[in-house]
Amino acid sequence: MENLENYKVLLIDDHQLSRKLLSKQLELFGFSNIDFCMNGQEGYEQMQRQSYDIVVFDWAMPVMSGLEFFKKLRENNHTDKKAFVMVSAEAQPQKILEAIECGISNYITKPADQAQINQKMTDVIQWFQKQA
Amino acid sequence: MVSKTSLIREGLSVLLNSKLNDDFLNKLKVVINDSTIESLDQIFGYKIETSRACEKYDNSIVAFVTFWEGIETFKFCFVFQNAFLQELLNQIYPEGSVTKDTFEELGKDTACEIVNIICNKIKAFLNKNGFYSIMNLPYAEVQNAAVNSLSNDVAINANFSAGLSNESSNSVMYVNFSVE
Repeated sequence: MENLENYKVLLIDDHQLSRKLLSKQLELFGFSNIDFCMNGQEGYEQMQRQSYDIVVFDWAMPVMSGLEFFKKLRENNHTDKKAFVMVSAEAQPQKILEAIECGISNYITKPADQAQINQKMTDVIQWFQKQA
Repeated sequence: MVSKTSLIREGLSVLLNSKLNDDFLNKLKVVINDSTIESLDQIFGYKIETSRACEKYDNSIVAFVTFWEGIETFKFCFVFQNAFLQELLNQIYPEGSVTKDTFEELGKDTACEIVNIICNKIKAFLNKNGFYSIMNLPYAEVQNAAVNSLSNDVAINANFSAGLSNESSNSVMYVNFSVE
């Protein structure tokens, strides 16, 4: 696999516990360039300032939810050539389907284990390689 | 004269109460127990088990979640002993970073995220069984006064102790479920 240090990752979650756990899992996978935001609004503003390859984000957050964040990015054409991975505690199949129908192709139910993160991120990297 | 709205409300209330019969509450308690035990194991690798009603907790962090269920609300209250939360935090944060000054903030954050994960599993069960629950974001408070885990308005009281693998049988947390 190509050098994972080249990928810029933005991790958006309102809980410090999840930011801590997920960033550790992403680092174990091989990413080292990870920035953090605490809700969708902060994430949206951060993405106006900096470009990211992969955005890992929660669904239920105060101020702006993960779904609202994604829809706003899509409306403003900021989703091209980026991979979006939603990691949420939402466990209802019809709700997960709602996220997928909005265009979020990668979904992981919390709590994510290392194997799930590795599998999903491997898929994401392969997607980037096909795009190149 | 009784209004149409109050008749509908009364009808919905009767319907909800008929759904929440003893058999269903027993099933819900199993889901609460399993979701709590499974989530703590998945997040922290920490083994807990169900136990008898616990003693009063003097120092704890309490996380609340409300499910909006039409005209009624379901309230979940998760009470974590401070010492238990401290053990969980020690597994996640570097040594020395959980201090007296940081415990409350980190403890509330951790309690809320644990409860968020558990309650989403409970919500999936409820909505699979004919309910239409909308869950709010959890919030947490510090509880320094002693509170009895059993009160009259609680429909389900689930208690947990540290599993044998942790070489302790102390009560660590409990969950109360009530309908308002």
